[in-house]
Amino acid sequence: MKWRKRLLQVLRWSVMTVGGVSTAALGFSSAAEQDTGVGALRDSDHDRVLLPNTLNATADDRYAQHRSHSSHSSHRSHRSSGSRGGIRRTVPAPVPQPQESPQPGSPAPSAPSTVAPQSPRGRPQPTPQDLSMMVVRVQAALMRRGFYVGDIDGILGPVTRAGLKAFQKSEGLAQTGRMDIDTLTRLGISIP
Amino acid sequence: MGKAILKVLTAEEARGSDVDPSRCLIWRDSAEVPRDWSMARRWAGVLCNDRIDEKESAEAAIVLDGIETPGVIAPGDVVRLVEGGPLVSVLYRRGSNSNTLFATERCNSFCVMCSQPPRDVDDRWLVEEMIDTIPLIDCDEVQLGISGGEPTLLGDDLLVVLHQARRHLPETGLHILSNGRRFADSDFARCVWAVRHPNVTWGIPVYSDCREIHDYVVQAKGAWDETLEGLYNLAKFNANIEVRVVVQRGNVERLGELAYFIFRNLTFVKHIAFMGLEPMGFARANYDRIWIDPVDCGEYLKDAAFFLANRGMAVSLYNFPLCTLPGELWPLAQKSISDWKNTYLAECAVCDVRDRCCGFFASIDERWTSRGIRPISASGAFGVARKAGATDEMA
Repeated sequence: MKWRKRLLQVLRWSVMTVGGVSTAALGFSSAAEQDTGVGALRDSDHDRVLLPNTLNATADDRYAQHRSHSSHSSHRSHRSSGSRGGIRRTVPAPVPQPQESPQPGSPAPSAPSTVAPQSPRGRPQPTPQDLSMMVVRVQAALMRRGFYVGDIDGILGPVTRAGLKAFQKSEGLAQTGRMDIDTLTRLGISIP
Repeated sequence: MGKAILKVLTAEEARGSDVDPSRCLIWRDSAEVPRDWSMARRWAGVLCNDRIDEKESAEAAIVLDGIETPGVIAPGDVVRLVEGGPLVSVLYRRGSNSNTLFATERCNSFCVMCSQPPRDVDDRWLVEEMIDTIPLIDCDEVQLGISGGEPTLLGDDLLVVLHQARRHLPETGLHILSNGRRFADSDFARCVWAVRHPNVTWGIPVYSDCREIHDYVVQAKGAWDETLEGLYNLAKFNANIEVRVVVQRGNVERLGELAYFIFRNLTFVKHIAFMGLEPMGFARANYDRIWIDPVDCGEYLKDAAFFLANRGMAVSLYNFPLCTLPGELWPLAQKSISDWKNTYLAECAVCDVRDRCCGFFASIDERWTSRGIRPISASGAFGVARKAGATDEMA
């Protein structure tokens, strides 16, 4: 079963991400439990295995659509990040909505980095500042694992992408060079 | 509950500034409407000490008027408002000598004289707040502090904060207080260096050359070893380090040995600060363990400070009123106490060197007051200079 292979792959993570959930708590039993001792929930809407207590289990791939860009000049007239008070403006998206879960190998459509269209799940796309901060976390995580030796500058350039791909290769993930959910989760980064 | 972090600016400054208008809280001197007034610029709101006519303020999303304590908020400040709440918190104050961002209440040490006792809480919202505040700080601000708790407990969030500061305040020096223990992890030290902030100083305490004494002061076994490992890892990446030594009963007698230790083993340190006690937090509970009258520290301080200064290391004394110090140490004494918690005693009114003296912490009381407090007269000051070897021409 495809999902069982996926589960075993995923269980190479630290025990914490899988958690000590009993099968009784999950409310069902399956053949997989004898193999792995942990129950798994199948999400019927997506071909994806969601585990209880899993980092990013309910996140969507908001950071994976981001393409490389030249550095943002340091300026103060940017929109405030996230949902911390202040006045937010939503702008209708001029491009098709991104795929919910991009299949490995197929390119995801790019979203321009200056508007905040609503994703299908209703969460706003990350602002340039959010993306930059996420890249900082990714660069640090890659650096710790020996996949990146450049500056931690929040820019998703060719060197950072190469580091991402090398990491993805070592983890048996698709080498997209993008900050998709699986990659971020393996790096131990939670999507806000 | 809605929360907003906004920059207080006059309309004139807001028009000329590149601060996002939706983050501007416009300062009005009075309830009278200025001639060129218009909320069409989509400012976040209005702030006025007097009450504003409701009809006229209807366009503004946020109206703060009838301020009970005028003078607390002024143009240039960055404030936090909580929806429905009566309080406005000032996160940054233009013109203050001690603007500091608060990173966390958590700490991995429990220093016996800690003035900000730690709490084990989930306060990650403070990280968001720092990230939102930094872009609103005046870009010509000379120095910004980061403190807590222990900022390195933020982990990679600290890298994000440093990156944000580098991006929005490239000319502003950061002074970060830390026990340095997390830098025993060389990878973390490398990551901090890799952010390439051009101007960071780490203020890291080393209380003794003796492992047991340091660990006692910080109430954490193994802390001395971790801090030293952290110092060496930071030094590997050419970090600017200031060693801070809070002088107290437990470590005062070995200050000379500590100075020797720093000179021989921590040659990369840029600055050493010997600091007087602040009577806040844990210090108050541990009075009997830590209090020593500053006038009884004079010889130890002279030994340690001059040992280092004579060998080219920069030394300062913080939080020691001048009247408690031997005259020879006066040139090293700094006005170190943050303006908002600084006070002087009645005796200081007639003191000739009051303007050069750091004074006292506002939290001081009888038992924390040195027996040596006395006003210095001008002739007294010259008297001290004579003792230090001045010639007769100076009389």
